[in-house]
Amino acid sequence: MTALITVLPLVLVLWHLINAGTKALDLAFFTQTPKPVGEPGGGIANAIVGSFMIVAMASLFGVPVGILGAAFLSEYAPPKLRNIVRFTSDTLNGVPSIVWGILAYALIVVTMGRFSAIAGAVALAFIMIPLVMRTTEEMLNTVPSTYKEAGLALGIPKWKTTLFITLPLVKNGIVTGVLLAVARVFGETAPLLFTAFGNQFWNFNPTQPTAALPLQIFAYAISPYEDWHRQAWAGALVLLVFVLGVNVTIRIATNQVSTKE
Amino acid sequence: MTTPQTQREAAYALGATKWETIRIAVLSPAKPGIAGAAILGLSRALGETMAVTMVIGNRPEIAISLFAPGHTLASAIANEFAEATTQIYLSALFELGLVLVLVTLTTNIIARLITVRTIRRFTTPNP
Repeated sequence: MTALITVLPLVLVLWHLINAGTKALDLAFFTQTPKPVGEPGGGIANAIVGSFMIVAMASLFGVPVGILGAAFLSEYAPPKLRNIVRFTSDTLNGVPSIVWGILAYALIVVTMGRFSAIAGAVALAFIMIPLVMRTTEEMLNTVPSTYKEAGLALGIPKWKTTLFITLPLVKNGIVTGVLLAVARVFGETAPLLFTAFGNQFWNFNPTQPTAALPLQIFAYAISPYEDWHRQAWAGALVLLVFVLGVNVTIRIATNQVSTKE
Repeated sequence: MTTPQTQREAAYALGATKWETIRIAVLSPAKPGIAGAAILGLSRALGETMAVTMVIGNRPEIAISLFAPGHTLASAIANEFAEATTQIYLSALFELGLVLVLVTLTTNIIARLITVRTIRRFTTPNP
């Protein structure tokens, strides 16, 4: 009964999205940029590409910090510091995403003087860091200390042991954590509102305003045009399929790994 | 989930039915943890921006009716940031952000403290 109540929203959302979204879904939707108001057709190809661009840059900024931070926490940090950092990253995890948006605005948009994909990527990276850090740290804690001691006994410096023995051992877990974080930030709209800002045209320059899929959906959904509403539904469908796809892939992959062991 | 299996078995051994076992041995010791999780969920919802902005109507007044348009902290920032042209307007929106952070931080910290205490109670053996 309760299981049904939990599953029902997902099924309803999927059903409604497929119903409303497939009307505007065609090849042009994935290959063209938005048309001016009133002209039928057009697509959101620039938003899809922009989303991938921003999330890729966010991963570039956020993932190394998260992984190396976790390595430091589990291998080097004194227990007291570890607890403090763990608590802080847990609370950072609960900070509303719009706050990361205004932070990136104050830090980057104001100093650069214009909206840019970089600013959006920084805002998303702030969200990714605590997520990646926590999963990586939990993974690192599962490595038996005998492995680390074996490395140290061979005279390998500690930083090399951490980088080349401990971290590769939990590679799969780290990849899972990173992908989960990517799936999480891929759908974030609020931090991009006044950082990446959106764009109706192609843009591959990271210092210029860039379109993103969630932003485009938001702009279309609150617009007064029937045609744009249809496109918003289709965009939401694409977004949901992508995020669900990543999540399901992770689930299947981790199941396979755990049954193999 | 952190409720020890032995507790459940103890309840069964005393002749409790399935539902009684869940109530006595699982739910009631986990009460603080469940409360903590609920508060965590609350703070997550407090900061939710986009889903709220799209449907709340964005009118800057305190509505008496629950069915009238209004504002939340997050939706006000999202909606008005792009049109904030003067320094004082921007500062006001930043202040809304500060209030939002403080509110969510407080609820989060309370929730964490509660859950951490519950987990600790189950992991350290009682005297």
